[in-house]
This record gives sequence, C-alpha cells and structure tokens, in this order.
Amino acid sequence: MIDGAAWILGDNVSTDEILPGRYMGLTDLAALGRHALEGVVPGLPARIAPGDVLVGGRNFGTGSSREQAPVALREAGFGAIVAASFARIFFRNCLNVGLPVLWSPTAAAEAREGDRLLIDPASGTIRNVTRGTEHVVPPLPAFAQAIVAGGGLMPYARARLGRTLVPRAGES
Amino acid sequence: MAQTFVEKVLAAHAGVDAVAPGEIVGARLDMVVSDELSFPEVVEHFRELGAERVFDPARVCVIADHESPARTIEAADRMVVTRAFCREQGIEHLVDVGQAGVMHVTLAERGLVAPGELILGYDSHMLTAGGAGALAVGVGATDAAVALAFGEAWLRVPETVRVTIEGTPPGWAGPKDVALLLCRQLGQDGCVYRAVEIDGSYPAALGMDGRFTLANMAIEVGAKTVAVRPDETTAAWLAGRVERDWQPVWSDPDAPVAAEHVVDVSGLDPLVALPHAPDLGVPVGEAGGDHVDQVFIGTCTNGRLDDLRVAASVLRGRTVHPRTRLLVVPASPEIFKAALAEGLIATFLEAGAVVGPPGCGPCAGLHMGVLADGEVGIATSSRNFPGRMGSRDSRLLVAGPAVAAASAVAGRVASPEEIAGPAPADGAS
Repeated sequence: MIDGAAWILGDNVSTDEILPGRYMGLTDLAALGRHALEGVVPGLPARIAPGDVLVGGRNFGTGSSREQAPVALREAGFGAIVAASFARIFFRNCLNVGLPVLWSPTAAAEAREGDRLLIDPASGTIRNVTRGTEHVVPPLPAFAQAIVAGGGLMPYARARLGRTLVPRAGES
Repeated sequence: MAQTFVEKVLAAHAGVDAVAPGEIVGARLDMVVSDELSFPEVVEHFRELGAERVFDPARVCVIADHESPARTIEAADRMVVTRAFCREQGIEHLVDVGQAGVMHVTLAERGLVAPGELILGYDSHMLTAGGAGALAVGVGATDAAVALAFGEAWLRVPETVRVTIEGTPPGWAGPKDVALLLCRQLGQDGCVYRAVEIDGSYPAALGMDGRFTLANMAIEVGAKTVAVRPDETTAAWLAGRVERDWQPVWSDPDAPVAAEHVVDVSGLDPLVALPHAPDLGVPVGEAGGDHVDQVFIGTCTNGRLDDLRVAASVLRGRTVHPRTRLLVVPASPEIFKAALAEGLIATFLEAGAVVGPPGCGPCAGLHMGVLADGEVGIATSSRNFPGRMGSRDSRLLVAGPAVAAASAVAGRVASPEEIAGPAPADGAS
C-alpha cells in the first residue's frame, strides 16, 4: 500500500521536463532523483516525502523515450503516479522499472495538492482520504500485471531466459 | 478476415494467422536499435539480466548520433563501453563517427529497414522507419536490453487510425507543414497507443524524404507506430539499399479501424508551432514576428536532402541576420556529400551559417547549439517542449526548412515568400 501526499501537475508534461536532456548521462541514481521534474517545478524532490504521489493530467510523460525519466521519479521517492492518461512509452517504462502507474481521469481531476492518497496498485484502487472517495482503475492486461507483480520487466525476463519472452500457446 | 497493416505485421512476427487489437503478442524482431548515449544503459541491463549473447549480432544496430563526436569525457567513456560490447558480441552495425548520421536516417540509408519488417528501438522517433513501410516501435532501455537477449518483444496490438491526405499545398508549404497541420488537428494525445496509417494522393506524390518527415511526426500525436503506404517510390528507394526479399504489406480496404481522418492540404500555408508544443501550429503570418536568436535546420524530421534544397533555395544570395545564428546539420554523411556536390553547403556557408557534423545536433538540448535563458529559437525538429533545446527559460518554435531559412535571414519569424518570393516552380518538394 502506498500512502502519501498528492503533488499536482498539468496536462502534457513531457519527459524533457521530467528529466532534462542534460542529465541523461547520469548513472548515479540518487543524482537522477535530485533532478527529477527540474523542468517543471525545480527543487521539488527536496520537498517531497517518500511515498508521495505525483498526479498528472492528460498524456503524462509525452515525448522522448528516456527511461531516466521514470527512474528519476522513482529515485526522488514518488510511490506512484496517477494521471488522466499517459504517453505510451513512458507508461511502459514505468511498468518496466517498477514504478506503479494508475490511469484514472476521475482521481486525477479530483485530487488537490496535499490530499492524502492511499493506493493499492495490485487491486488498482486509489483512495483519496482527504475527500473520502475511492477510484478503481481498469486492470492492466494479464501479461503486464505479471510484469508489475514481479517488480518490473527484469525479474520477469530473467525467469524466461532460454525460452520465448511471451509464453506461446500450449506452453505448460 | 480483413486486417490492418499493423495486425498483419504483428501476426506474421508472432507466428500466428491473425491478431486483434488489445491482444498481447510476443513478436520476433527484425532489428533492435539504439543510439550511443543510451546504449551503455542497455548494456548494463543486458548484463543484469544474466544474458550472455545478443540474439543475432546482424540484427542489432547502434548509431553514434546523440552526443558524438564526444561532447564530454563522460560521453567519450560511454562510447568506449559501447565499442567494447559491440566487439565482444560481434555486432555488425555499430555506426560510429564518420559513418553515423541521425539514427533514423542512417538506419534506413543502410538498408536496415524494409516494408513489413518489425523494428524495435530505444528512441521515441523510432517510428520514422514507417516512412518506408516498416513497423517500428520506440521503447526504453529495459525493453531494448530484453530485446537484445530474446530477439522478441511483448507488444499490445494497437487500434489503427487511418489518415488520408489529399491535394498539393501551394507555394512553400511542404511535408513538415502538413505534419504540423495533422498535429494541430489531432492534438498531442490524439493517437496515443494507436497505429497511424498514412495514405492518399499527397503522400503518393511525395518522395521518400517527405514521407519520412510525415512518419517521424506521428510520435507528436502520441502514436505507437505509423506507416506510409509502400509503392514504387518506396521500391525504387530501397533498390540498391536492401538486398534481402521484402513484400509490401498494407491494410485490406475493408479492415476495421478505430478512426478515419481525411485531410485536404490544397490551401495550406506554411505553419509554425508556437512554444511549447508541436500541436500549437499557426500560419507563419500569425506567428508574431518575434526576434529569433538561433535557427537550427536538421534532425530526423527535416535534415534530409530535400529539406536542405529548400533551405538553400531561400538562402541563396542572402545572408543571415547579424543578430541571429544559423546552424545547419545534414542528417547523415550521405546527405552531407550530396549537399556538397549540389553546392548547397557553399550556399549555407556564404549565407553565414555554421554547418555541423551529421547527427542530432542541439535537438535534445545535448550539445552543439543549446539555447540560453530568454533566447528564442526556431528549429526544423519535431518538438518544442519546455527546455527541449536548452534552458528551461528559452522559447522554441518548430517549422519546416523554408520558414526556418527565411527567419534566419529576417532575424525574426518570417515567411519564405516575404524573403525569397514565390516558391520555385518544382515546389518546396
């Protein structure tokens, strides 16, 4: 269960803003985290508490495929991202790096800065404790759920080495 | 049953007869691609996975375009890692400094994409290969590493959006202006998770350069992938580049699609996308005429020979405004050589431009011409999100090569007609 305060951003936040290009070469994960969202709200990572929740509008994470963007958000301490909708590559990268993402137009529209959110990624439930509401996100495809349940694509793929990545029909 | 382009290609690569939108498939990959800035990250994940050999060293391509020649010591170190891994694994297509252009341009020029092939790459503009009728999908580092090990990716079969473009724009408006029009009409998230297919009399009359421009910009409406209908123009371009057999693949006419758009471009004026998004296009006359500090002509969107020809036709016999800098970056060595032979490079230099080495240039704010606080830039690249080309407090506009070149001469956002008169009779390509 993720329990944290909501930080609100708008529509079409790009990965150029989530992690500006000049930091893409950083290999120190903590340093990536310190620069998270520098193109939107500089200094935000210093103000958040671990487990806080980023709430975006439509098309969150648009643009560049840089995987450092979700890694930076994870390293900054965000426990999950809730948005009205997500850009495709960013969403997929979040699943792969083990950062829970919840696609909920209603929860995103309702949340205000500082609202306390309780999130259960496994069941896709978002409780806004401040407002006394609950939102349930449609489940991911079964294959994507398996990746998330294992903590990202790496553990899943490691267990499949020597076979096909996606089980073929008839595989026991 | 009638199938779309993307369904046919994914079914063929998953080894099944048919697939349907929403289904997840494991698809065999014809090519896995990365740039050099990101590749060490991919290598690290590959090692972490415990994989020992890449699935097929002939089907991996790494191109030194984002930060080469090395912009810093760290970049030079990254390239050492990349070269060592490619040697160790016998990777044939490591395209290093001297041979490398922008990855999406170089990949196609080297014959590594063909109609109906499935390409996975670590870059959002990967789908540019759809200009040649390939199915190309952008992913991140972890997916790329897993693809290197398995030669396979998990992909959700996307719904298709059919875009039919009819007519011929008058004057200076070209493929980039058509792409900006589509961005404005469909919106930044208009095709998220969808495959876009481009058809109609306009793309059919375009050369490959313009088709790649149209395909490239599909990511700016959120598309997962895109394809332009392959035809004899495609075949002629691939001849001499691709030696293996390939078959054109296209949607059955009665295949169900999620949405259909018909766009008439016959009255289109050149457009400029205002800060800070590519879907904010307005006719150049309404763009405000702001002073422009820097103009950048290049990238996987508009750094091809047709683009350089258009820019040179505006710049010939004129000079860049004294308070404006013009950067021209041919997208590949092949294009650079052709531009040199045609005298285009001389035109740029005489006008006062600096001509950079093939690659991404300053597009992603990485090196060779980033913008300072408060500066205004206009670029032929695909996107102008806040801070994209440098400072978070810079302002970036996006346009085609004709508007960019005219703005370099005027020192402000200007129309090519105003600076250079009517477009040449053979059009702005």
